[in-house]
Amino acid sequence: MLLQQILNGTVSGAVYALFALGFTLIFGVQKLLNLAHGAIFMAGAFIAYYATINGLPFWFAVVLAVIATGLVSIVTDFVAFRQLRKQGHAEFAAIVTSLGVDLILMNIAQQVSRTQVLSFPFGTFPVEFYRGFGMRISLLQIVILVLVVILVAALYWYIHRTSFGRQIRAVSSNETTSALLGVSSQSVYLQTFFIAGALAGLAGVLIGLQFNSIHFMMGEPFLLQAFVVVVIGGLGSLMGAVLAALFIGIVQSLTIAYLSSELSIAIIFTLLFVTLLFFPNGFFGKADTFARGSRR
Amino acid sequence: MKKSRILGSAAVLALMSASVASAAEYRVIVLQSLTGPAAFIGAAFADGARLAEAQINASGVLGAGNTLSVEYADDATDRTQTMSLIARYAADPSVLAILGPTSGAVAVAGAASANEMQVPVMTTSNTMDVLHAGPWSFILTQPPQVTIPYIADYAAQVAGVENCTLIGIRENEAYVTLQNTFEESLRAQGVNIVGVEQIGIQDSDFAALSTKVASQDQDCVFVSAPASQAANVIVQLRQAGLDPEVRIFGHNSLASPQFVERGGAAVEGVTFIADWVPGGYDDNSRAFDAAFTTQFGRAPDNWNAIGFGGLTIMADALSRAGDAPTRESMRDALAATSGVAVPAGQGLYALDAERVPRVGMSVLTVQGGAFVLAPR
Amino acid sequence: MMNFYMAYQPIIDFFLIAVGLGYSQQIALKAGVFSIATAGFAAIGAYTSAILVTRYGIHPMISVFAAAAMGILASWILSLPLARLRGAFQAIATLAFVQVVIALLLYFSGFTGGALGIINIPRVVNTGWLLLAVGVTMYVVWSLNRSKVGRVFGALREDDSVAASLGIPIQGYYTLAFILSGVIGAVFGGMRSLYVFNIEPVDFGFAAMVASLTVVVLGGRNTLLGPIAGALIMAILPEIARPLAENRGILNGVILILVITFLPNGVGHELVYWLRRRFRRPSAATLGRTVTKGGANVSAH
Repeated sequence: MLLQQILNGTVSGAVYALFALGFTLIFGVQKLLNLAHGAIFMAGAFIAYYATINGLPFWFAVVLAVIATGLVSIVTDFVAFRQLRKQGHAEFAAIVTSLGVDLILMNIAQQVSRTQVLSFPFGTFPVEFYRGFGMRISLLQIVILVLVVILVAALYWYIHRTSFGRQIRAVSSNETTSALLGVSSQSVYLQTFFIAGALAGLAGVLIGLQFNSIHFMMGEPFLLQAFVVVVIGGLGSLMGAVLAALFIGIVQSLTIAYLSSELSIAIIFTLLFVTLLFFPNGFFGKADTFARGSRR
Repeated sequence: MKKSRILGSAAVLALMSASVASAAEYRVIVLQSLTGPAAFIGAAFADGARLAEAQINASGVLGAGNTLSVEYADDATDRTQTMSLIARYAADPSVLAILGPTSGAVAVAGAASANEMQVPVMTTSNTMDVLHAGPWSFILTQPPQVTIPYIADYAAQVAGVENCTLIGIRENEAYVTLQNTFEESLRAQGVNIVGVEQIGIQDSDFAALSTKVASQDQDCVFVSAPASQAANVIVQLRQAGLDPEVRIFGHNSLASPQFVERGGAAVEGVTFIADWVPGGYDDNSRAFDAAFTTQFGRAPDNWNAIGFGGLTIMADALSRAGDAPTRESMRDALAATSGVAVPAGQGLYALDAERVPRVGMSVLTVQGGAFVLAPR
Repeated sequence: MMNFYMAYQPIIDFFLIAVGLGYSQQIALKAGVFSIATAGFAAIGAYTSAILVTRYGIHPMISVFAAAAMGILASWILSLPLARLRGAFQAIATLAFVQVVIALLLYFSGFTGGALGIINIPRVVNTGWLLLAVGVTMYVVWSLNRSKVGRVFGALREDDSVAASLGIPIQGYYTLAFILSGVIGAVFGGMRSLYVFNIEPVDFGFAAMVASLTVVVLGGRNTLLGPIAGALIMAILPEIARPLAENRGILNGVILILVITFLPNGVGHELVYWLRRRFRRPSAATLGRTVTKGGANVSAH
């Protein structure tokens, strides 16, 4: 059972990673907490669902959902963050404006779904199980793992090996200087938010598929989870976020398996607290001054 | 209403034709959680009540031409708004009674307010605390000690289970009470409880839980969660390799078309209790099913049926509350409710001497994707 | 008028509770501590009061003082790790604190009632008591603002490294602000539990956390009027939006975005600013501020 539980945790953690990557990307570039990220994740699942039941092929519905959530994320930036960036001191205000976007998206989703819990029709994705080493793994779980590995690698390459990526990194370390050097921060924000939204949207589709449940409030637990992932992983560190997400997925699985399902939330958040206390930069973060020292 | 009171004296009535009294408009508030976390109950309840409102006004059951005027208010599952709304409607003398609030602790708080302000409220909840709050507060659904024995006795005596694992959501007071009552009832009948697992109301990832439960030795699993979530738990239990011989039980939340839609083949053979038997089981409930499907384009679920029944019970009390109903006469008429035909339970709704609702329960099981009465 | 009071009394009372919790939230932000722990303090205060009153028959008044003591203890302990963090990290840490409090309330169900919470709490708090508590809180905050402590809080918010270089013991002041936040939050949490008949863990979750923060950000982070203006908006908003029924979430969201974007210092701040400009004898200073309104806003931080 131990191996099976580690596998369960790894699959959950892989999806947390997709969600948290976008969240940490935005925090890394903007230093803002985007509370609408959970709603964008939810929107991905909704769009793919309605596309599927209206007869579109599933692969097309996924592509549609990913592009659409990328755009929703850009609109979120436009509505909630753009003005605040101009004013400075956006830390507090961004929480409230992104919460506003969150409320709007959830309300629309609730209306559309009439408060029902939805799920993809049976047969949207083949249900097949493979056995080995005393474990059961489904085709979908394999696809999720492979997809997450590919996406994380692609994102890593994009950020660290392309000129666009260099611009993103430049803006995230110092917007004013990079502007002087001719980097358009506007285009960087557009890209960051598109990527973040698209990743969240894909995570939403995968979760909706894997756990058979699409609901207007499905983003909230993932948002709370993302805080933990981002802190333990170290802000701005993409590899950190991925490792932390896997770590949390596995810890959660093992807590449920060997301690008590009631305790898993308390343990996860205590872990977050302890990390903040002793490793404020996370286990994998660069030793920069994000966490400690002066805020500006 | 004032007009009807003036005209209500026997002498005038004797002279006037029935159409004059048509000015009577009885105002009832349906105060439910139409939005927020409890909306899956409240919004469905309100849809059922809307259908009942139309039928009551078309039927003339309140006396020729009298109308029931229903206002639908949303507390957004927010206690602040519940208490504010109850105070507001209590201060409006034209309001005769409130059907709500939805459930849980919000209902208990609402009941306390209603007794303070002396306005009858009938909450959707089933906790006895609402009744203990005073004579003005009622519960619409049967408390666990009435309903759970139907399924616990079935599990222990008919199915003969010996080792049971319980899985239930932890945040909702109503579900927790149902689960605890089931646990006590099983223990009292000598059934061993293997383990009690808790899940969050917004959770959807039960992989770890399912692996753990599937590896345990039991012949019974009890799931206490809303229909779609419960279906989801059961699907994941099956995927984790739960022994197909294990019997799965649940309570009345599973009596929803969503349960089969979400669960598919995985929920075959799951056994539970229901206020509402999908499709109906007698003339009254079949008529409700047909009318609801026509109006809303989907089959009704448990909460739709309860909402429909709730407003029907209100109308019945109104018809017995005298020519000029007051809050006092409404309270007394509600307390004396008996033999009202509702599309729920065994079909006839009554309050007993302690004002505890009695309408019975059916034990159902899933067979070929449909709900049928469980074999005895 | 009496009828009006009857109909709207719960709104008024909940408004006063929201104002109190708003001050708990504001005083932390005022000193530059980005805490969103108010909901957690309120939970601790509420459960302390409720358990003492319902289970041990303690006088409600004493239970509120006990709640205050628990608030001080919890915030002092929490201030130790928090002092090592800054900005958004403090927000995440305090968010974790609230989540842990709720998880523990659910877990130790023998003591806290678990998901069922605590029922049958007598309602002893009324509008008068709440007014008194808000009055005392406002007086404390007002005198603080006028004292040296208030000026130090301002300096910490602006730039703590400058404050430190001036020899101000910044750690002590951070702790003081956080303990004040804790005690105010716990007192109003305790009073709330003596008003609403029953409490349960979900009352103090994510939504409650966001509500206190919203009150302060809408009303204004730095002015005494802030929590009052913010709580007023949050109390009236659901009423205005009621005809929209199921689309209220959209309106709530739009208003939050618009107010924050176009009145970045909060409605209360703008109100004070407008009143001053209107009623004060125009001196050179205020004239200067009128002209450079945009600049004044920035320097007011």
